[in-house]
Amino acid sequence: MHLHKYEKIWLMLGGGALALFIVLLCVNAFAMGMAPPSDMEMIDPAEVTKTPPFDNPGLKQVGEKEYDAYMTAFAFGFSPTKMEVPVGSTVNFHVTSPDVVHGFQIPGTNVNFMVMPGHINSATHTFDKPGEYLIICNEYCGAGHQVMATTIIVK
Amino acid sequence: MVIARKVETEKLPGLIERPVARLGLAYVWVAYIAFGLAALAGMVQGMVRGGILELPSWTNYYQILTAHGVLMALIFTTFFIVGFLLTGVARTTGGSLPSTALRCGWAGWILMVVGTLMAVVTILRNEASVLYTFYAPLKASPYFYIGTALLVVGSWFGGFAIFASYSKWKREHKGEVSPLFVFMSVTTFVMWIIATLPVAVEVIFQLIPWSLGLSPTINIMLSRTLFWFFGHPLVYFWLMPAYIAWYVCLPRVIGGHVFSDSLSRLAFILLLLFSIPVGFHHQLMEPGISAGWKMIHVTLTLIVVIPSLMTAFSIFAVFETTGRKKGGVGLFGWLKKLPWTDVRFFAPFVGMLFFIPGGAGGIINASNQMNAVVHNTLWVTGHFHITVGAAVALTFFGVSFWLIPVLTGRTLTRTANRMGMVQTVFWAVGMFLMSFAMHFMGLQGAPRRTDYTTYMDHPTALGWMDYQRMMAFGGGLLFVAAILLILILLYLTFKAPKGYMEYPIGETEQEQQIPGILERWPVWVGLIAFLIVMAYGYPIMELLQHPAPGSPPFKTW
Amino acid sequence: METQTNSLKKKQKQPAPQKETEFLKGTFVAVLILGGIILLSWFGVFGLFLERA
Repeated sequence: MHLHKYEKIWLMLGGGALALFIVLLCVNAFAMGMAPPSDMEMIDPAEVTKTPPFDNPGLKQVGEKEYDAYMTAFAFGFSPTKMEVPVGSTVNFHVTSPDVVHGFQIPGTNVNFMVMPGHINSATHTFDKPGEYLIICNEYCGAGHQVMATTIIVK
Repeated sequence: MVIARKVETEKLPGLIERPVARLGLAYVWVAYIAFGLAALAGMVQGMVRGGILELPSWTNYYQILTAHGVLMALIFTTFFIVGFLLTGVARTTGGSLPSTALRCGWAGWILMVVGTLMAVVTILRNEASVLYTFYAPLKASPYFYIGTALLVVGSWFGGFAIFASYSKWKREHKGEVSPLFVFMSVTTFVMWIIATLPVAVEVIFQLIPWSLGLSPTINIMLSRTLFWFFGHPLVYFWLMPAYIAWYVCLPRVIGGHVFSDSLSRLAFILLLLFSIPVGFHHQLMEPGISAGWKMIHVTLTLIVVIPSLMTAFSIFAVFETTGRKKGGVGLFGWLKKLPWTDVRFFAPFVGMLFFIPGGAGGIINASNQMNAVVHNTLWVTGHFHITVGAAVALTFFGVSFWLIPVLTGRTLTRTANRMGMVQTVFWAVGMFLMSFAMHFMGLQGAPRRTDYTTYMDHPTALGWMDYQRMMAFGGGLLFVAAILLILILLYLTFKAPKGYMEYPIGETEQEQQIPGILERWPVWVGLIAFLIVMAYGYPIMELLQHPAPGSPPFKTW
Repeated sequence: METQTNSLKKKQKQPAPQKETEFLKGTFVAVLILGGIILLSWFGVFGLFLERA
């Protein structure tokens, strides 16, 4: 199979760029701890309201500027609804669903993950700027999907 | 009598026998009926999200969205692809299909039409507002899943028809390398049949029993993994026939030659191998799949970019070689020599332009943790509209402008050609505006698959409104283009003057040597099996051995 | 003589491969532009991702 000189160069450059992407992604994911949300913890969806800590959704302060947020996503809302943290706080979100698949996204941040019944998923964000951040469900979950949202206030 | 029999097997002016033409038209017209309905649904969606239209109480956004997705992404595409490939295989193997192939073709058509009708009825009754990805534990009517299964199995028959034609040709041309169109069609269907097996398993062994109440719970992760095992090669099932039109037909349309027969075949083999073991890049934000396995699939996904890079080079090479032969000079002077006023070239070319940001966006989407920026946002919707909705669709439209006249023994008149150019421009402008708005909103976090909302007038959501109106406007232009297209195609089917229309099949300028290994199917199927086991073996085993508690059905709409 | 034939042969050899590459210069530039678009857009979104972290 004859490969024209220019095509050879092009494919080497192209392949090289793709290899560069893979290396950068690997370093960023595994050495810098920014791998995509891949929580392996499981939970019985029928028992979510009875299984701690999801039996009492809310913010728990675990450090000077660190909080764990245990939340449930359900058709069609989130619990808890009123969350407030001081600016500069790091919040670890842990979310599960007692019913169907939902999404959990904070527009303008990298917090964006799937919430699946039977599983707990998680993501962490440090809120450097004050404001009222929108948290939405971005996975179709039924007739009320478009009202499924809450906010977190960063003061 | 004798005369009547002669007419039956007589070839149409475009060198296709009538039985083949009838089969091809049957597939292509079901495709366009689905397309027309889906285009209407799409426009309505855009207007609703743009705040221009409020839906009456007897329907809802998600029902319309399900119809749009199923009709466009599953029905329009699959029917057109089978019809196009069957006619091209016939054209390049003497003009006819063996009777086994014709029988398989019709059997497939009937199964697919029945399946489609079942699915459409359940959607219309609001019993299947689960979107075209039908994620559990949202549960649709069992007839929706049965209809989907029939659609998939019916499409296999299109593959069997192509394989039957291929084997017959191989037997009659021992030792010869198959015509390029045939080789590429066979590759496409080998990929399709392998790719649809997991979704068939999901539908037949998980969804149907669960939706009938025979199993109380369903393993959601397994169902999603099986779906996306299918869902990624699905997009290559759409792309490869467009590539066939670009590699084989377009060179002839512009008066040039196929650039490299063997490199084109190699590109298709690479697509076959690497389009399948990559499904996790659609599941990057899901729990239950480890970061390590996600990265492995991402790496395999980036490898599948290579055959598309090869394709880009090939296409430009054909354009440049042809343009220079026609007198083009300078670095890009050859561009001017291409047949810009021939819609058979213009429409696919515009499609190719859309594939530039389309492909770039696809690489971004698959880039592991970067997916967090775009997952489930309108960016993804923008992405697949410029890939399947522009690159593939415009190519299919461009093909239809000559294919339908070939199949009906008519010609593409100058007026129809000009109308086709207008239609292409409307589609392109509409798609550009709509997809630009979608990509931009996506980066701002606007969600996909969501009815009109301002999230209680939250400023972030209100900031999206201007772009939602832009999206609606683009969608309106697309609908105008869709109507225009259907009218042109109706004209070409029933009213255009009879005459000779070419079925363009390009050839290489000189005879080229093609390595025989490219057609040693056991080698390639063996390699795919190996890659699939490597990419999916362990993760699926884990899902089966350590499943999360299953979920009962939910109907939340 | 020999040197002349050699230099003649050299002259005959050079234009042919040059023509082959001349013929696809536009293609080469076009795909490089495509590559540039891929790189720019990828790093753009990667930058956005890192900035939002």
